[in-house]
Amino acid sequence: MAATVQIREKNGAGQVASDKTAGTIRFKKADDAAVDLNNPLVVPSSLTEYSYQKWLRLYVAGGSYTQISNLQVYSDGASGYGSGVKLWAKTAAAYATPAIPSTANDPPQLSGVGMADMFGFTAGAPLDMDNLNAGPFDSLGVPKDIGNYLVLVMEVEVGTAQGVKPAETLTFAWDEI
Amino acid sequence: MPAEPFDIQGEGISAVGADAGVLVSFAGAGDARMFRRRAHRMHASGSSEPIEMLVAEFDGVRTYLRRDACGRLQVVVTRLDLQP
Repeated sequence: MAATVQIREKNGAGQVASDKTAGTIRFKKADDAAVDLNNPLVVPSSLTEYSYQKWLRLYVAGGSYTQISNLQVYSDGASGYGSGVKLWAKTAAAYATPAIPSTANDPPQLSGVGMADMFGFTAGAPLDMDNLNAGPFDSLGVPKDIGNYLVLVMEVEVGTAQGVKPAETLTFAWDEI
Repeated sequence: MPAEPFDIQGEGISAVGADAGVLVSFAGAGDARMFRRRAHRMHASGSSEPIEMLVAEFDGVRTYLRRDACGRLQVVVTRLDLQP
């Protein structure tokens, strides 16, 4: 017996949710969950290029459990995107309609605070996903969202090689009883 | 051989964790708890790998149990907070 936990991407002003548990998150210049070649990031001739923010959150769809706690997210610690492409991360307590960060700030900011390198968060030093919306989370009111929002932004710098970049691995972990 | 999910019955020193091939319990007095550490790993291929470990903690020492894709039981005893 276990909780059924999904990773969902939220889009639009109404935070329309898409299940990405077994899917791909495509960084682009549009606020949608489609994994397509529309609205690609463009290698800039000056400054830098940011994608729309991606807002992700864990969602308990059902199942049987007592409580969930200690939500974490981490990468494998090594970017496979190649030179000039960066992935920035920060958590948020509340949703805001995804936007493109101002290129006046490098790294990009969320709510006036600089975002951090996602590849700096590893299994040994993960990003806390329930410090702002604190657990433990019981089974009352399921289905429901739990924990912080994870906000990601991809950056493409001047001189980056063109083309679709290889995908990367992201791990969401939690404790459950 | 697909890994079976772990089940936990009871709490504290009385907790018992099990899957199809292993039974874990505590013995003696101490500060004990048992829980599952679960994860979804979103792979570059677009697939997702569910991961589950049974964690039995006794006086600060943790035993992590996990079955690999071949059904072999991996056991790690440590004071570290290990992620899947």
